[in-house]
Amino acid sequence: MKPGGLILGVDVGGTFADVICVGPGGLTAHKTPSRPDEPGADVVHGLAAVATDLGLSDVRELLARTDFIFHGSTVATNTLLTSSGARVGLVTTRGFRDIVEMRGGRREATFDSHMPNAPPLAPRELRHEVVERTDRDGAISERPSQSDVDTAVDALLEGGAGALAIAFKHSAVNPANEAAAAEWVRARAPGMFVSASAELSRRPRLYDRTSTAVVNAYVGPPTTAYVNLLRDRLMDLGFTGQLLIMAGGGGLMSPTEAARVPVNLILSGPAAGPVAATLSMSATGPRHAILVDMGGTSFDVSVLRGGVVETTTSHDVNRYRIGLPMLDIHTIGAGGGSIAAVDSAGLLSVGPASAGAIPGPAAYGLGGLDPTLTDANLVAGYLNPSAVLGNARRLSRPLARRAVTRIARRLGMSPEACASGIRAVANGSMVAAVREMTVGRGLDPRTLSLIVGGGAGPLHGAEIAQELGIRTVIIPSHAGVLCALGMVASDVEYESAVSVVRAMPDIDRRALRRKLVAVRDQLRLRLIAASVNPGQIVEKLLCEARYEGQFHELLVSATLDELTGGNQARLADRFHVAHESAYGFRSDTARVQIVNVRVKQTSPLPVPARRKIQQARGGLRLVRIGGRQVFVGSGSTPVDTPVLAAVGSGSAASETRSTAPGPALIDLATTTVFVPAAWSFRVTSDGDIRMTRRRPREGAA
Amino acid sequence: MSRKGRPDPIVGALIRRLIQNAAREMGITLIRATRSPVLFEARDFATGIFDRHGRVLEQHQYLPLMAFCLGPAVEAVINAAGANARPGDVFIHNDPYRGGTHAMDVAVVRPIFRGRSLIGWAACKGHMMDWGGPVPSGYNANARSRWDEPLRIPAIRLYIGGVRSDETWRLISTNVREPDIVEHDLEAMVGSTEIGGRRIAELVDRFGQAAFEALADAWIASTRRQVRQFIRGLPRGRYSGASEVVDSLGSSSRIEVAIDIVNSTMRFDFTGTGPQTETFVNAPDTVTRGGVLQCMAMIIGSGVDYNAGFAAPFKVRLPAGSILSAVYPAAVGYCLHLTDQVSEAIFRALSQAVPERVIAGWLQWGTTVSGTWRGREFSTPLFFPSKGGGGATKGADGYDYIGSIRMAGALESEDVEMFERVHGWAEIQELAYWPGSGGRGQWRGGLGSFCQMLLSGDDMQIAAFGTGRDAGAHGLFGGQQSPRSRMELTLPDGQLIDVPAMANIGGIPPGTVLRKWNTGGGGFGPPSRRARRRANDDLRAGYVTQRTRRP
Repeated sequence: MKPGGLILGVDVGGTFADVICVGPGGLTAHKTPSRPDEPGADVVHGLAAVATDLGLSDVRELLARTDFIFHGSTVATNTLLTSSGARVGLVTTRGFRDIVEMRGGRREATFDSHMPNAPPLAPRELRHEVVERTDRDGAISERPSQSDVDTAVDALLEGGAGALAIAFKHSAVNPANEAAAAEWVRARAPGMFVSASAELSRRPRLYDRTSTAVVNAYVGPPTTAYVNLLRDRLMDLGFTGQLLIMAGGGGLMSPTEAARVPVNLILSGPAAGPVAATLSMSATGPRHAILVDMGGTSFDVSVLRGGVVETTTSHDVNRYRIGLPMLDIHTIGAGGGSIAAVDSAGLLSVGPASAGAIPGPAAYGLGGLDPTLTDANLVAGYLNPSAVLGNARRLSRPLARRAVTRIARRLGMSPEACASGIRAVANGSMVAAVREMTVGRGLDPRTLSLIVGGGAGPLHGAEIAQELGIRTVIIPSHAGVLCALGMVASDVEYESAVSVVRAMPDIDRRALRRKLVAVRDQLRLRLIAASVNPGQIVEKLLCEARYEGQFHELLVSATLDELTGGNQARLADRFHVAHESAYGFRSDTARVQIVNVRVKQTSPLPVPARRKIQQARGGLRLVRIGGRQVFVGSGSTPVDTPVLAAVGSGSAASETRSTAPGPALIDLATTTVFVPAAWSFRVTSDGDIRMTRRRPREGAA
Repeated sequence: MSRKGRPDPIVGALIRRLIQNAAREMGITLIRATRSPVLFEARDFATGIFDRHGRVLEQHQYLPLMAFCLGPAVEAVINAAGANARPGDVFIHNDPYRGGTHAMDVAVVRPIFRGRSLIGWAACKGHMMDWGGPVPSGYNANARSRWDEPLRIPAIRLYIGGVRSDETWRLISTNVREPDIVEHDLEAMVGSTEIGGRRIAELVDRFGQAAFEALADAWIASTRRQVRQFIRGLPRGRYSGASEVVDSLGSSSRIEVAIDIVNSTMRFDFTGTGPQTETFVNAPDTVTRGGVLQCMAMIIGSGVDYNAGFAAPFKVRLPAGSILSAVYPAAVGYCLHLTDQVSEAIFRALSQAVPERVIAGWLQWGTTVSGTWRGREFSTPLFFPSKGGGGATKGADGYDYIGSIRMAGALESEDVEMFERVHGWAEIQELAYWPGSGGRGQWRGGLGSFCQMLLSGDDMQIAAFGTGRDAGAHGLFGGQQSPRSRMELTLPDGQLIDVPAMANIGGIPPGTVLRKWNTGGGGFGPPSRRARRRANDDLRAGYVTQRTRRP
């Protein structure tokens, strides 16, 4: 490490590019508008703002002092959402070229006869079949012929394919046929982006794997181009440190790895949120927590058990299946921009329609006329009218009030009561989303803490908690730029899987050991190539297991010895216990089937860097700066609520140990926190704000 | 309450959200905790919350048609035992002649109490993997009466005042083939209603019964208003439509419907529909009423809730003892599959009133395989080789490979690799679109599929039930009919069996190859008016071939 070296986290979203800089002087955060039209320019702008802030002459000087840049980007997600990827050509096993377009026969809108199927990313005329056969146990009964593959590739190139994908049936079990074909394809189409299904995933499920290979090829060329452009740009500016890219499954990867598996960049931004949350959980914090992250348009919920968010192995993004581990984050359309309306039943509804960034809430004064949640927060007194957003935009209370009044009249209420109502209904939707992620999975939310981030989240966190019966709410330091913070705190992490699909007693243990060791060695090589901290690699084995005949798998951790040695009973028992805790029953007579074994290797950040991040978070001191009139619940007279703000952040002696009672509003640089009357709060030594419910809760969970 | 009988707009919105969530949570419980694939994978079930009068407030349509058949089951329980229901009671019901569908579909219904007062009902209804009777899975194409079909259960209690009625459970498990799995799944259903009931009790604790009931009334009334307003926009008049179905003995029955649109009401009169058959091709009235509601849901499109207010403006008249309202002792195993023909008749009739909203034909031919593999018995419905295409409508081609109209694309079929790895007796050699299988038209029918499988089980039996084999899906307004489906078995000795539309074929040896072509949907409007660009795209992609590959 360079002495006094800096660590930068850069999270480029749809509206804002958030930059966080960790250095000897503490932590600096910046929001600048993102620039989808000129990729990479927003990163450099953000860096320039940080350089100015630190009193450095320019970006070059900043980069010369920087060890690490951790980056999350929407480039891959946007490619998929805006249908701007490559024309993909697919080579697949004879008889199965339509699987990827059939999508299992799902239509997402049940009664809508006009809903078209998702347009195939690899059009049918660019899907070619070759004769080959691998059976379900991996035995190869027919090898593909090179001339067949060459003919297919020629036809695909002739047909205008801009990227190629290969997916053979049962290549998850034995990829030999597919790998041979991939080699021929690469030789025949040099310079073309080629993605082979088993190189991305070793999970059985032909549709999932084929679709993953196709999506990877689809986002490949633009994503790879972006990563290379950014790397070159930073190098030109004198950056000699390490650039690492955030993956949708959590964890960081090298630019080389990102260019190989660009599909991993999909949903890479939100994946960093949980890592930031773990900073508030380590040491003195809770072991299990719910994280909610609420921005302008969406409300993301995830559950951290022992500091870890579960991953799902199958995910649909814009109706396209991605069969790779992704963090299990549930998103609903509820954010500051969510629009309030009166529905046909005469009831108030909020969202999922959003005013977005443009025109945005009525209070922005950009032409928005619909009342949004942000407008309601302003009218009811929760938001400071003179608050300044990231791009120096003021909020107009009269405009907000005018918008809210429009629907308040129809409901026969005052604008203030209506604004409180909008907040209550929005809170109700958020509570439902949290419930789905907890109760829906056998977890009791009352036993968990709620960690709240995002620009809009901390205004609602305590009320959501109250309704769920949760007693502790944590607003992490720098909650408004949660994901950028999460990026700087992430580890480099690679993962692979070995497919088994056997009941435990039937597993060929020697063969499994051989496969696991091979996967482990290969992962290690890739991880060392990223070389953040080659001296230290942590490995974890996770089994996706179920009772024979079940469809849904549960994750249980395992050791190599349990899987391939004599300790299977312990593993089976761990599964029974996990099943009982998740679904309320165990079945000791049923056989436990291992579907996949995941191998996960992590190269943690060097200790000095991590320590620096922890230290930089602290240092928040609050002082009372005045009061605001806040309309609480259905009350028609406002409550005078003290307003606090941060002073002198960064001073080491600013720890606030005393606990203060609510109600209170805390105006911070990137967000506002609301502490209801029945709650009290204190600032922790890490700079988090911790709220606790004072009186026993009322109402139901 | 802000005004008498009107819910507060904010409290009401919160209560409505909690009710919707309760039904959803019930479904998640079933998906996670059940053991038979027909429930957790095919999601052949529905969940719902009802008010104390049995009016549906929220139904979650995992299987859309089943959701419309849940209300009648609750009604049947209320009629039989509602007055005596006590806290902690849980009912089971499947009686096809009193609010049920075919006997394999079993409802679990729980009264929700707060203290001693009844506040509502939580219910779910699912297709059991076996429910006894002469053939595994329950689809018996040779059934001639009730006595050739699975166990019939009136509204009785699984739990009495919170105590498990072991005798009832024992009676059931003694009469089914897979007692462990069936008991497990029934317990999961009981658990699902418990969660639904708990959520409703909690919300009533919080907001009060008056607020809950005011919301229920207002919600139902507003949906009813919304539907009535839609109907008022339709041209008044009487519209007739018909369709035909061939039963397992080869006899044809006619389905007739006359739809009167009067002011804000629609009356569906099925007088003229043929009498119940002597085969299993019959439906209880519940199915027909559900089919009417689902067709109207498709006609109206999204943006409406499916509570009791949705059903109110639709009146259905069914001659008792017809093929669409079978009475004891008719066999009714075919049941929900008749929705294909019910929908056809309704859409044909309404094509005169709302040509821009009706949908062309849409058929399904179901199949299950049972037998023995390495000494273990199996019985497996085949969803992936049974998906055909949806019918075209004005402005949109039919949806490809979507399956039956009553599923409407709600279920995802099994993955071919996973299917092979779980079912050692099956090797899937091809699964693809069947080019040219969509009826031609200005708007083309959705594509059907072709599947080829090698079957290696011992002493296998195949059940076939459905339509499309003897006539393709009908077109509308000059749109063409789709080609006919076909299923053939090639035995190892080379013998070829052309499988009839409805049959149970036994004694199938290992090494048999099953080939199945599932037809696509019917076309809409004359093919000559198809946009050139679409026609070219179809040819280039090979969705359409110069000559349809005839099976």
